Amino acid sequence: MNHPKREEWAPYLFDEATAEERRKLAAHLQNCPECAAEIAGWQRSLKTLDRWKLPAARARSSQWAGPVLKWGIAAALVLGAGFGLGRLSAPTTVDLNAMRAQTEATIKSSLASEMRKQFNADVQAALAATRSQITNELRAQLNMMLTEAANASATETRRQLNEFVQAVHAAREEDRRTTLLLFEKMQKQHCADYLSLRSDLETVASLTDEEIRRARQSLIQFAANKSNQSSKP
Amino acid sequence: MRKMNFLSALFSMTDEQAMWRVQTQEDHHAFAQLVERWEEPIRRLCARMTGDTHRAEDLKQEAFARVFEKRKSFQPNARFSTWLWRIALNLCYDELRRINRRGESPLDADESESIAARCEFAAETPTPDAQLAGQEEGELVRRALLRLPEIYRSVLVLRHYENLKLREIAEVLEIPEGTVNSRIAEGLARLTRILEPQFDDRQGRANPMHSNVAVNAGRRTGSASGSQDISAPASRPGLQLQKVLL
Repeated sequence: MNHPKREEWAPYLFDEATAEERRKLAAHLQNCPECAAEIAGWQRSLKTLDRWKLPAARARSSQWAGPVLKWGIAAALVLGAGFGLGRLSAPTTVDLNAMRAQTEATIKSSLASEMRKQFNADVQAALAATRSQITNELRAQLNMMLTEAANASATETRRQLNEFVQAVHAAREEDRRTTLLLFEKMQKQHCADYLSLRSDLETVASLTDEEIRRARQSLIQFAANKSNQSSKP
Repeated sequence: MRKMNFLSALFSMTDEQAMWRVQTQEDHHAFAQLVERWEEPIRRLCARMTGDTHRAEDLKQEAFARVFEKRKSFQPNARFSTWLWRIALNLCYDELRRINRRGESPLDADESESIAARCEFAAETPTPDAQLAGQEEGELVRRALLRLPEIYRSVLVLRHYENLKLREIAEVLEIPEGTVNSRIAEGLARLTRILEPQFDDRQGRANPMHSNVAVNAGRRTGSASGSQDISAPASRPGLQLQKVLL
């Protein structure tokens, strides 16, 4: 026998198959005990799955407040519509009692819904207030911590900067002293050099003076000799 | 102004509109609406996937936190529910991986819960016997589902418990619809192989006339799955059942 593919049964089991598919598969189940047994087993399993019931969620106000409020408003609307219709379709003789009852019911339900709205708004406001208060507190604490941290780091920076400046000053002082010493030494050397140069020069000058005098004398002598010679002959 | 928002939200805002408000204006009111609408389904999904209702509560919270965190990445033409199911399911997968890595057995995770559940359902069930039987059956189903590989568990949970259409499941999981169908079929076949012997066994215990329980179970599942390799996996649930019942 030609069995349908396994996955074809999924839409069939969950009522999602097209009419044609459903007809075809149902016909196959009629004629194929093998498939019929398997699919019956699957259906039993699906039914068995329902026996695992989950415990209800923890009761929460929002879970009933929503529906209650919704139904309250819906009831008010329906009553209002009914009231309006009644007014429109009522004969000229007005049944005062019925009308009063209707009005009372409408007012009551709209009052109830109004009060619920109010209550909800109050709860929201309280929540918002608490949230903003917590936020503010947190912000204040955070600010304080930040300030403290900033102060501490500023002090530390200042201290380190001072140390650095002092170190720089000391280094510069040292430099200046060394330079001064060197300078003085150079100046002394310079003076000594100058003095020795001067004495040398003086020596040279006196020597030269002596030499010039001697040269002049010899020139004079030579001139005298010459004149003597020329007058003799 | 707030009242107006609230009223319009009650009557007209779709999930996608609410999500759009969350996206563009960080509208906490709209977000609260979404949470209120979807927290129960998401909690149920997480409980069915992990087999642990306490964990499900945490996972649900995490799923909504992630929705808000990833609000900007929601595509406006996508369906909110599809996106939400996908986020929650991925969280479940992560959690199951973590549990496996720690070597915990999710099979035993829910002992306390099943006791709590016992008290909770006391009012619904008529007689103590029927009540006890119901809890035992529920526990068997929970364990059977946990023994299924995740890819089969997720499609069965989404289709059977959460009533998603097969096409929607395909969108959530981002796989072809044919693959969803074959996973459903395979999942059901495996589930039947796990469950049938247990429930046959239970019937056998309830009715002493059934002395040929094991033979009966073997025959039924054998013919149902059309193969003979079921004897090995079928023997374990029997043992487990003994444990549960004793």
